[in-house]
Amino acid sequence: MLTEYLPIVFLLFVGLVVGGVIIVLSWRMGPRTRALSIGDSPYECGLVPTGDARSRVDVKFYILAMLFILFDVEIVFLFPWAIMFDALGTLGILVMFEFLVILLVGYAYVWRKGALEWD
Amino acid sequence: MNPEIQELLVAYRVVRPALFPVLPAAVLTLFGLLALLVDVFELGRTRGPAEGETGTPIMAPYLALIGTALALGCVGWQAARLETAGGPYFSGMVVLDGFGVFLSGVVLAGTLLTLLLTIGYCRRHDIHLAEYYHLILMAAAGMLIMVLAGNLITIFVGLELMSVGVYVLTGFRRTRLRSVEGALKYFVLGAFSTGFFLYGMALVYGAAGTFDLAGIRDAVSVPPASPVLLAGVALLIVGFGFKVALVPFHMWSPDVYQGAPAPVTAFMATGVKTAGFAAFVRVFMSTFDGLADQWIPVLWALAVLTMVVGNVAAIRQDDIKRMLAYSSIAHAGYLLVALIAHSDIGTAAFLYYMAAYTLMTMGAFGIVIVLGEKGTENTSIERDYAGIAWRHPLLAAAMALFMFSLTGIPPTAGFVGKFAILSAAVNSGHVPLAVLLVLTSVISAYYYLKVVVSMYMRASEREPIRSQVPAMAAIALLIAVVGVLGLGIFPGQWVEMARASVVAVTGLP
Repeated sequence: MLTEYLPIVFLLFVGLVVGGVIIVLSWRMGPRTRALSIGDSPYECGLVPTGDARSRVDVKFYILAMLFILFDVEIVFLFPWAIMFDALGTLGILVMFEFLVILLVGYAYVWRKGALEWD
Repeated sequence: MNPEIQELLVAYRVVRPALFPVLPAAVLTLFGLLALLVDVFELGRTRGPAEGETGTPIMAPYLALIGTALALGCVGWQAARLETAGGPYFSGMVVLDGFGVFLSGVVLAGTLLTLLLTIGYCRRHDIHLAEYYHLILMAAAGMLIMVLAGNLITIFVGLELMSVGVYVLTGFRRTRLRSVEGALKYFVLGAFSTGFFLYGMALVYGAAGTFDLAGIRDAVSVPPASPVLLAGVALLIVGFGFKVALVPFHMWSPDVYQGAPAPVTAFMATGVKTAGFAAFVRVFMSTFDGLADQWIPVLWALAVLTMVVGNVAAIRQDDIKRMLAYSSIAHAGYLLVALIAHSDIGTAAFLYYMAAYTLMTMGAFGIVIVLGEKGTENTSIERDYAGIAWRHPLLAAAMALFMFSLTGIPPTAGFVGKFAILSAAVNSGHVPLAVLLVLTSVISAYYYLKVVVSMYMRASEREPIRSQVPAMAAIALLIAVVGVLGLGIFPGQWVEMARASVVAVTGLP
């Protein structure tokens, strides 16, 4: 039973050997560079980084992202229903309607609270 | 007749019986949404003092109260129709049995008392948001779903619906540091424990091949139990243990209880605990019944730790909300003893104690809420509670009654409940556990009676608390007092009701 896993072990072994050989070779044969050079920056061939990555982001973006997730998940539920629409029949329509009503209340809430306005 | 209408009628006939068990939760959801909608369209809201300022929600609290009362009525209807209620509902996702209906009643009674106490509290502390009532109703709906769950997925959905609401409620006084701290701790640790619960569910699914509680029971009844299954059960214990605050998963609870607004704390101590324990007991008494030899020693150790740590740590507390937090940890230990007894008597004792515990804890928090003043909740036992008996004799007498009941002194509900748990434990041969329960109860007398001593035998050194008891809070306190005394003096029919409710849990489909 365990012999089925032999190819995976083999692959692992080959991966380790190839990776190890490349590291050792480049260490032995590559040119020496000084420390703290451009090679140490996060993206060696990208743009020169400006400022800290941990800057503040306007809370409006978070609200937008949150609302996006909420109404995106709604679609996740709607698609399977739309495909099985015929088989689920009237009962399916009622259940989906109930789901959408609850979501609509959420939408009305978001709208009235002004979360959809950017300023 | 129009074919479309006919089709609708057919669908209605399919849906109607299936909706019966979730009717209370549906009513709560409906009224919760109504409360939110009415408020957000600025109906039933007083105008603010100046242009652009918000007023107070008037309609939302009453909608919440009506909804909870209606849901309670639905639970009564379910109780009356229990024998004829068929099943399975929602393909076995929901079960309707005496156990669930009894605890639904307990949860809703706790919610009703919370709402009655909340309304005056919100006026006093300037919380003018209708979302508060919406969240309480949605959390209560989640609790009802947990209580009636017949499937691990349903338990999880109910757990999340309940928890998310309570996380937000904990941080509701967001200008207070403690409130925000409590909310953050509860959220982070709660999410962590949810991970444990989910992982446990996954492992149990791996071993049993189904999420259905009855299906899992059939799958695990054949020994020997696989290690995967046992690991899953252990992780489920961690998940439940966190929600009901068993030691060593209790670290969050004192900070959260202290930081949350007092009515929310009361709601957490009663509703969340009831729902958590309901699912806990259902899963372990019926589903993992065949593994009792494996889980009883684990829960035994947890019960010992919970009773000892909860009671000993409560001694040093001066903040009454923290004290009641540790007290609720200790009571979780007592309730766990009822589960360990692993018998019908034990489950009946659990049901009775849950009802008694809800009433007395709600009452104690009710007094804490009523004694708060604008801007401060007055929670120091030494300073704020000293000499209260002279200014507020009725409130002090009620508080003393709740403290006696929490200690377990007759003729209160707490006494009968503890007696029931003790007799169940002794009946199942867990004598050491029963002895420890009595010993830790003696320790608990110290910190409960400390409140009584402070109220009656100390002179107040601060300016007197000016506090008027709102009419609704008075009703809530009256219900709690009558309940604690009623359950304590005439326990017969309540114990009988708890026993009758157990028959159904062992007969899980």
